[in-house]
Amino acid sequence: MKHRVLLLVMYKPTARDPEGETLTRELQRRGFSEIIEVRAGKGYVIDVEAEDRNTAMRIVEEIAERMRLFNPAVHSTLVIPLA
Amino acid sequence: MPRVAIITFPGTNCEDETKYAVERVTGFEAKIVFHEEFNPEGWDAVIIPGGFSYGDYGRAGLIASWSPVIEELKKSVEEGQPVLGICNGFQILTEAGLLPGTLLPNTSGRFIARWLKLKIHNPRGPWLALGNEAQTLYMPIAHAEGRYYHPSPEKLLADRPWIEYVENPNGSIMNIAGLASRDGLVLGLMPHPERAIEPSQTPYPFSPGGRLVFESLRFSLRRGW
Repeated sequence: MKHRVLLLVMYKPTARDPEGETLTRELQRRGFSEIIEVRAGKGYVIDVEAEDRNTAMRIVEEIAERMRLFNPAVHSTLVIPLA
Repeated sequence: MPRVAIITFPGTNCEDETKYAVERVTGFEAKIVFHEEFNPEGWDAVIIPGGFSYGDYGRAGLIASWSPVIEELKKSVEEGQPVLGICNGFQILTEAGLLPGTLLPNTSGRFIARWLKLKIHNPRGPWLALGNEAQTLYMPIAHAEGRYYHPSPEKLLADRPWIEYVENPNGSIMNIAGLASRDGLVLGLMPHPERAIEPSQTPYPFSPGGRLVFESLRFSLRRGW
């Protein structure tokens, strides 16, 4: 069965994120004072053949780690099921 | 003497050669103005030059399009002020809604910097007044996000000035290298006219096609368009 999974790759809180910092600052300067922080990242929408949703998420997690779709030194990830 | 404002943002990097090109070709006064210090009064034309405003964060031109200067430009365009956006300036004008469409990453996924042959269509307005229909021009491009996209390009181009790539470098729909508002008052160009005004800038076998844009401005601000 086909499952759709979103893999989000973003910087760890300990790593500087110039894109996110610039977006945060400029949004606040334009008056959006509700904005606390923006972190920029990259999203991958991945369709996976798997028995169920949890297996699909596990497959994405494993491949992302093995093939270094993120760099564990500086990145954190979120794996979110979409469909 | 007519005065031309060249508006910069953090990360703009083509302001000096744009000022040079305006002054050299038109003889007008050109002034580099930081967007937060821009006073809309007293200008005869405005140019947004190339570069990487705000590091292209979000999308190229996105954060610059939030600047209060954009609202000022929308008002002054309604009053008939010519506006030219070059490269990142074009990206800013589309993000701001001053020109239709979007500039997407090149199909090659790469930054492309080279001279190209271009063709003008429906030339009119202050930036192209001296152009002829189907006239060819040479100018260099230098961009990673220059693939023009619009959902209905045929209708879009039917009655407006636009510039065509004779050989499409980046996957632009309908080979669009630049386009203007219907009256030609607002022009956006991915190619760099300021890098093509003199033979000393121009490699063999090309010729400096950017002159036409600044010569048209000189003609138009003196005699109307």
